[in-house]
Amino acid sequence: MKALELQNIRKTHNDRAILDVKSLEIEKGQRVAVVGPNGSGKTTLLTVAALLDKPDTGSVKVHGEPADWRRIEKVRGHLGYMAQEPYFFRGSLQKNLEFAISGNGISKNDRLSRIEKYAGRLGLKDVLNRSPRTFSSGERKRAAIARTLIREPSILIMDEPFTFIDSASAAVLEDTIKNLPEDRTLVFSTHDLSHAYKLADRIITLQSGKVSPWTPENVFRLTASRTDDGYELLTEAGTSVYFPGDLEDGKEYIVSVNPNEVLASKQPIETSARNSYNGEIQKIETSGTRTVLVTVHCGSGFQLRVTLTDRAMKELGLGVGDDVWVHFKSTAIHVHQ
Amino acid sequence: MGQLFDSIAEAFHLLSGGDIEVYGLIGTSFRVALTSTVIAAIIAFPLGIWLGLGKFKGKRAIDIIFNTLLFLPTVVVGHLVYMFLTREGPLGDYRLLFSQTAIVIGQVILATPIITAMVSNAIRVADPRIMATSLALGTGRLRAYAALLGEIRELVLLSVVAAFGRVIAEVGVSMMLGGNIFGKTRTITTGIALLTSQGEFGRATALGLVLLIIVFIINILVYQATHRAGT
Repeated sequence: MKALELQNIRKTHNDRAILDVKSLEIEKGQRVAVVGPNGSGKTTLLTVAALLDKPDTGSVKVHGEPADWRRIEKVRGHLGYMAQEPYFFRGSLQKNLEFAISGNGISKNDRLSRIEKYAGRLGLKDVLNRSPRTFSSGERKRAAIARTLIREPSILIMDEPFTFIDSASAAVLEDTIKNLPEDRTLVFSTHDLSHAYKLADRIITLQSGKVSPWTPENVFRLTASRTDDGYELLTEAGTSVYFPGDLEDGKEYIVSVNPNEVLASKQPIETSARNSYNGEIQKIETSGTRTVLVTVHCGSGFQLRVTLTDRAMKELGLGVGDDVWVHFKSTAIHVHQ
Repeated sequence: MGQLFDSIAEAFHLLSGGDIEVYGLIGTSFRVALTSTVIAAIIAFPLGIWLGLGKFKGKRAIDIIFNTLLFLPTVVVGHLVYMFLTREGPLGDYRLLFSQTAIVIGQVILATPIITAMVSNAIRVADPRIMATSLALGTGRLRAYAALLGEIRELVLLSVVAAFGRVIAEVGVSMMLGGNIFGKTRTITTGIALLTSQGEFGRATALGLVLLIIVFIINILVYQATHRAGT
């Protein structure tokens, strides 16, 4: 069953399209991370999905029910949205939490037990009587999440829950998200890919307001194996990737390599980069101003994406089907798990 | 100078001595001004929210109209309402002229633009996340509006006090629509006008001071209320 369906959504600002999504469907219980550079339309996508921002065109369905903007409150009741910089009403955290659940037909006793439950879960029991406006940024984020969760919405939408947050609060948050009931749908945006890999079972990349068909970066699931001078990480098909860090032998890791940190050459070259592969160019796409994203198939299911400038492409005379060498330093590898 | 001090002394004497006539005027003034302010607030809050949050064509024109209405001369309002309420007027059959109700109608017209303009301006400069937060928490529109007014309550209170200040101190509407009938529609301000025309400057000044003292006390109460609120 689909929790959210967005069709032909378009939103413009000063005649410029800031969101242009042909079709996006999110299954019930799915955990979705939305990634993309600043200004790619992440917040707009989330506020449109949360039915807080009306798109210029297109339709949103929540649990199969089309959102009718004239009577939006009913459908919006299924959704819980947390803004990147949440606003807190005057008064204590307790009052803020009560506001979120009052008027929903929940009895006073149930309200109090829910406050107890969610304040406890997010480590906020001792500060219930304080105004969230006096909280640290980590406490504020946790308070905002408690206020969103306390309504127990079936679809949870969170904009950058991991920004402006200390590591202890991040851990509490990760734990809370991991322990959400299975039927709860979660959509969150993040700058930090490690949170996306850790918590999401689907990653959506936005580029200039559009859903990109590509995952954000070169992401691999690799198994660590010990060598004499460091560690060698292996792909399933046996392609070796050199990484000199502290990893647990035999353990599987999710790693990524930023396409901006990958080098391409027509010939094998001697460089300081410990990882060099020969492959064939499969696809060339425009990825930014004067840059392209080149997909290189290196055999055994190992694909690398490389960002190159238009000029580099021209000067090297590269095209689809050409033989090419790609290189990256072992320090360009980001380990996420 | 001596006359001023005599007037101040007389003002306190009138207030402390329980002068029935003076208390009658104060009672009428308050009853009429409070009723007008409450009715104006009931009309102006939704209007202020609509203008403060709304994005629609012609909004700027409506803003300008409301801002212009802030400066409506009271005699103009008195005159216009008079034309409606006079026996030959469209509402003449209701026989409202020279009654407290007539004054209330005029004062509502004076007070409504004040509260509307002040509330809409307060909403415009308020944190835009207030409404979004209420709606994101699944509340209905009405509750979200109430929460919005609650978050800017000092400014809302200030708008109501400003409106009350305008109507309790006005003389044009009260005189033209109330008729300054003793024991019925005579207010503090029309009382002052009458006493002055009769050459009773001392009592007139004393009544003026009574009005000032009352407004001063209200302002102290408002100041305390708004500064207690905190975060």
